[in-house]
Formats: sequence, structure tokens, C-alpha cells
Amino acid sequence: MGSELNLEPAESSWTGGWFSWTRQSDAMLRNVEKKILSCLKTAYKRFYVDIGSVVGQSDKIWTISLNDESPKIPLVMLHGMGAGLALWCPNLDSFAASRPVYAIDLLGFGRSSRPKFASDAQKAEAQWVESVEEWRREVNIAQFILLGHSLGGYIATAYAIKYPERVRHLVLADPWGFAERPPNAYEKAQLPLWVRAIATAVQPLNPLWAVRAAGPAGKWLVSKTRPDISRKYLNFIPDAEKVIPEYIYQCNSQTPSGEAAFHTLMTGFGWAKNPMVRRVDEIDPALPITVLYGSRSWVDNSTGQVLVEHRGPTNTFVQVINGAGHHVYLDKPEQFNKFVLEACTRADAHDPRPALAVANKPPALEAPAVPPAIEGPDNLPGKVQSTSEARTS
Amino acid sequence: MNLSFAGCGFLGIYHVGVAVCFKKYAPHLLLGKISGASFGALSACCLLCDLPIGEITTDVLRVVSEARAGSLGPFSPSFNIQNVLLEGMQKYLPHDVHKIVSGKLHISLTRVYDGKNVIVSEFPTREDLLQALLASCFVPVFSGLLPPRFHGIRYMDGGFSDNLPVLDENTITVSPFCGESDICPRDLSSQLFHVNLANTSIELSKQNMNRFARILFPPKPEVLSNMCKQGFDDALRFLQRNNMISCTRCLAVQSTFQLQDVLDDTTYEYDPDCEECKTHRQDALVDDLPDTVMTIFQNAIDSANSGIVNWVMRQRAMRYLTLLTLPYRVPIDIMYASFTKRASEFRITYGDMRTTHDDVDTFEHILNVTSHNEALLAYYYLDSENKMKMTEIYDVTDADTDAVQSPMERDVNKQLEFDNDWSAELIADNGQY
Repeated sequence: MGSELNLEPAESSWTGGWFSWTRQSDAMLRNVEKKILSCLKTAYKRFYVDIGSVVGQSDKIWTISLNDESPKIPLVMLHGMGAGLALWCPNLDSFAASRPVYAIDLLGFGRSSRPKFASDAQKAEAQWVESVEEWRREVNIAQFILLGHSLGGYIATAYAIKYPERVRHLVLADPWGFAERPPNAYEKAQLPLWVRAIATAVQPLNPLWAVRAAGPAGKWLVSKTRPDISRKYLNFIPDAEKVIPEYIYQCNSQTPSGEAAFHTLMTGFGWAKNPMVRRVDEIDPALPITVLYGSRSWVDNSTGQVLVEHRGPTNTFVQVINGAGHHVYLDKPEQFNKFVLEACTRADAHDPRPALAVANKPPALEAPAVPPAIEGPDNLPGKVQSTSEARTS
Repeated sequence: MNLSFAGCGFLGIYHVGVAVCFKKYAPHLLLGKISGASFGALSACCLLCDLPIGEITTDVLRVVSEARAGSLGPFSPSFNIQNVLLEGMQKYLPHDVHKIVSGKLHISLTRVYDGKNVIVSEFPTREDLLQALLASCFVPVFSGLLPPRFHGIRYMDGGFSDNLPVLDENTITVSPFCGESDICPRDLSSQLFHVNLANTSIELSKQNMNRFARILFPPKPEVLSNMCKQGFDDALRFLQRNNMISCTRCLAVQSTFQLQDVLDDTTYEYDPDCEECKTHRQDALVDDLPDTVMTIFQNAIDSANSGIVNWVMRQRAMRYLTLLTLPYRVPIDIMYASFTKRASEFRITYGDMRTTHDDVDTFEHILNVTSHNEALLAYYYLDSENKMKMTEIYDVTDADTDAVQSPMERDVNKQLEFDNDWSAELIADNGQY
């Protein structure tokens, strides 16, 4: 599945370019991402991390790293559904001031490879978790603070269940997929036939099908349906109203592999097939979790309560950010950054690893018992292609 | 703290429920600015005037029943939403309404010629206000073909450009669509996708699809009653969550202390020791829509369901019959409508005449008047910078020049002899000669 990463310009064909609007999109995506990232004040590196064959033949994960010389515990950020790492730009600078920060495009999204995921919900979830773990092994981080937004929050939780010894602190920003789908026997009676007909017709399609179906009008569609996102970026990027819809469009106009996997995880209108609520007990009780959600978000915000109920208030911190919606990192970036930094400070101060090491299977993989030392980039394995430009400002 | 009501056509009954809750539990929120588009602007105006909710509910239900009565529902030629709204406003809004709401009520309008959003908040006369409200409710084709004028410029529904005008950071947004608003229904759904249309965030859920259809096609009174109840519950939940419910005494203390409010958890820290506050909050937990409103709904539901005529109309055979006779009933409806239109012509053109009158304030008109008439009184004085200033007062009541009154206006003035105060005299202060 390397073709999506092909940066060569597409050769002209007999269709005269009429169907080629997605053909060049990886090159376009690279450029537009660079434009967005140019608003960062911290120097950053961008590179592909080759994680081998996790899902496809040779999967690559697009990564950006900031301040990776710092000896502190790194922060790893997983974006949400249909987004990409560049959308973290209101937060990266603030986090990178004190510690190494890695943001990745999840497998199947953004500039990462787009392999075909399994069509079973559990398998697809496991594949995503494995891709993150492989990535971690390649970048050689022993332990990190994991931050996930929306779908990224779901994957981060799944990762923390599988590899608790790797996660120092779990930060969930308005995570998706926690609540159980409530039974609604009256739904049929409440809704007219035409609504149910449309809902049934749309159900088998991938969530963002309209963006691709619109073809060349897709970018226009994104900018018209979500003008609020671009508007909020205006504080950070001068020409956000042009760049952000372009970026979101380019992220989602290619092969919808991550989107299809998300569709696999989903049942009905946006509910998770295997909601995290059922698995809350599997999260290590010693692992500290911070949950941040916006007061206006419509994603079920009982997540925090559920976690507190199951795990007790000592290891779970819940913060509601007033006036913020689902894109909590963007709606109120200052407050969001503050809360995340607080969580990071807690993670620095408190190491749950001794407790985790006792609680979990003792055959430690290669986890040393001492506080983690972050290997410098010089002893990264050869597989990491540190191809791209480092930028200083 | 400001409030903002989303425009939503017949879903506006949701705002009524929210308004009932605010009046009962958080009257301090109604002291700030309130903005809105379309029906949201109407409800904002009613809230600022402190109109009795019962009457408003009755009026909304009246509009709905009229809309449902026609052969083509709200699209019937005999149903003119602009007239129905104007009638209601003339009846219920007090005479000095423009004084009450000026500076507080912010109406979102869409300028027709460039599609830009305009927010109006100053209303010199009552007619100005009514005109702005009507323009804000104007949906092309649905309400009529030609958008109404406000200060000489044609405007239409604010929902086309900014449906949820947010005045500043501390604005509580109210929307009947499930989405990212402070007060909105929470559907049982975990959908990640939503769209942002004209500043109103709308989740892509089945329930919202259904609601969308209700904007122009009003539902049965039962459904309206549920929507109103939902508005009340959602508003109450918002107040509970943000600790905004206190007893009257504590509220009075609070509002004297804090002149500028912030949507922070700290400002609304209610006094945990006040027993009255506690009971008030406890009561609110189980509270429901007040009986006065519920009875009105119950009456509307009963009158729609009881009686032999309604029973006959509910039968399936009868429903098919009404559908089949549609082609015959529509022409009759159109004929009826064109007859009644003659009668209501005056009311429709009323707004346009008002706007030409407003033009009197423009500079050209003043210049015309001053050059064609003799001043009644003129006085000269020195201002603070020692410059000579002159103020002349003209009597233009009987002036027949077109500069003062258009022929049409003269006719109207003759018809409206009881209404002297706005055509009386024009004071021209054209200083610095």
C-alpha cells in the first residue's frame, strides 16, 4: 500500500485530469500541512516511522516530534476521527516547552499508510493498538504520557489496557466510544418513515462519504459545513479559512481506510460496538487518568463519572472545560493546555510503575525498573527514516 | 451575561419552554442583552418585555393551527405568515416596546443584496422594531416573494447568515437542535459528526433530521407540547449544572455585587449555607413545566382530537380523500387568498410606507426642507470652541413639498389624523453655518 505515499506528480491520462483531484493529494497534503505547522514557534522534525507489516505490507506512520532532546517523559498525541496531527497546532508549542512531544497521524489517517483494516471490530481495534506499540518500539520510547482526542481517546484507552507498563499517564480529551448504546424501543414510533429510510440508506456508507462523493467540490463542502473550525484557527494561522478546509479535505479524500476501520468499530449512529464502559475494570487501577471534556460537547460526557465510580477519585481526574465543544483542544486552548500540563506534572511526580510492575505480568519486556531514560535520536534504529526537514525559528 | 436564541421556525416553541424556566429560576439572566434570529428574535423580544408566557404560548399555538389548516399546510396561499405574525405582535407588544428593548435586543438580519449579516439593536420607533422582527422572520417563497424593508434596505431571515448571533464570550446559546450549544436537546446518540450551518451547530442525527423538517411544517400540538417541555428541562439542567439557581434573596445580593458576569464556576458559587437556596434547588430537581402552560397545551391537544369532525378527519379513508381532493381545493384556496389579500393590502404596505418616512432624516431631505421653508425660530450661540452655531426650527406640518412628505404619505397622514406625534415637526439641527 505504498502508493499513497508516492510523492511523484501524477502523470496525465486520457481523462484530462477530470478524475485526478485526489491523485496528487499526498503532495498537496504535505504542502498544506507544512503551511499549518509553520505557525509553530518550537523547532520540529517530521519523519515517517516504518513499523513494518502490522496491518498492510509495510506501514509507515507520519510523525512530528518537538523538543525531543529533553530528558523528561514524552507526551504522545493521538488525533481524532478524520483529523491529522497538524490540527494540534494550538497546543504543541505549549506542551513542547517542558518535554518531548510526539504527534502522529494514526494508521489510516492523514499522511500515514492507509492499509485495509480487519472487518471485525475487536481485530481492527487491536490492529490500531499494535500500530501504536510498533511505532513506540521504533521511536524507542520506554514510557510516555498518552493523550487522545475523540477516536484517539478510544485507541489510547485500548492501548493502556494492553500495555499499561508503557503509559505513565492517560489523558483523554472528550473520548469517543465509552458509553453503551441505550436501548430505545420507542425510536421507531418517534421518527417518521422518511427519516428512518435515510438513516438506513446512509448506515453502510463510511462516515465521511459525502466529502469524497462531492469530488472536486469536497473542499468547498468542508469549508461550508464546518466554517467554525477554520474560524477558531484564525488566532494561530493567518490564512486558516483557506488552509484548514484544504487540510481536512486532503486528509479525508484519499482511501478511507482509517475511516472504514472506525466504521467497523461503530454500530448504529456513532455508538461503539465494544464500548469502553464494559472494559473500565481492565484498565490498571494504578494508572492515573485525566479526562477533559467540553461542557457543550454532545459526546456522552458521563465518561468521567463512570471512570471515577469504577476506579475511585484518587487516580482519576475529571475536568469540564466551560464553553468548549467536542474540539476541546481548539475551543479553549489555554485551559486545555493548562489542564494537560497539570496532568503531565502529576505524571512527573508520581510514577505508577512500581505498582504496575507488581500488578502486571512480571516477565517485563524490556522495561527497566529505573525511571525511563530517553534515548537520543542518534541511537534510533535504522528503520526510522529521519527524512524530513528540521526547522528552527 | 447574554443570551442568544437560534432561529428555528415552528420549533420556536422550544424557546418558550426555555423562557419559562429562566423566568422562574434565573431571572437575573434576563437582565443582559438577548440576541436572536427569526423566531429566536421574537422570543427574545417577548422575554425582554416580560410578556405573560401563557399568552405567548396561546399565540404560537394559534399560528400553528392556522398554518396546519390550509390545503397545502403552511404553504397554502391563504396562510400569510407575515400577516399572522404582525397581528400577534401588534396585539401583544406594549406601546413603548421600542424603548424597552433598544440596546438590549439584538436582531440578526441578512441583507438581501449581498447576503451579509447585519445585527440591529437600536429601534427609534415601535414600527421600526416590528419591521425588523418581520424582516428577521422572512423566509423567501415561504413568507412571500419580496423581502420587507427595514430603513429602506431589503432584509430577510437572519438564519441565512448568522442563525445564532453570539455577542461576546459569555453568551449562553439556546438552540432546539442537538449540537454544540449550551442549552439544546441531548439526543440519545454518540454521533461524532456535526455540521455548522449559519453558526448553529447541528449534529447529524436522526432526531435532528426530523426537527429540520419541522422548521417550516409545524407538527401536531402533542409534539409541540413535548418540545416545550424539553426546552424547560434542558434549560433547567443547564442551570443546575452551572450552579445558577439560588433563592430570590441570594439573587438580589448577587446581582448587586457582580455587574459583569463570567461563565466561570466561581462566580455563580451559591451560598451553601442558605437553606432557602437548598430547597429551591431541590425543588428544581423535580420541577416540570408550570401548569398554566401545560393547560394551554392540553386544551390545544384536546381541541385537535375531540369532536366528531376531528374524529372523521383522523380516519384513514378521510385522509386519502383529503389528499385526492387537493387539486380541487388548491385553486379555491388561491381564489380565496386573492380576495382576502385586497383586504390586508394596507397592512402589508404599511411597512414600506414607514421606511419612506424614515428617509426624512437623511441629509438631502433636511437640505430640501431648509431651502424651501422659512424658519419659525432660529437661535445663534457660541459653542465650546468659540464657533458660531445656529439652530433653526421649522414647522413642516402643512408643508406640501415632496421633500417633506411623499404624496402617499400625505394621504396616510390625512387618514391617520389621530396619530400626530410622528408627523408633527421636524427639528433640523444643521449647525455651523
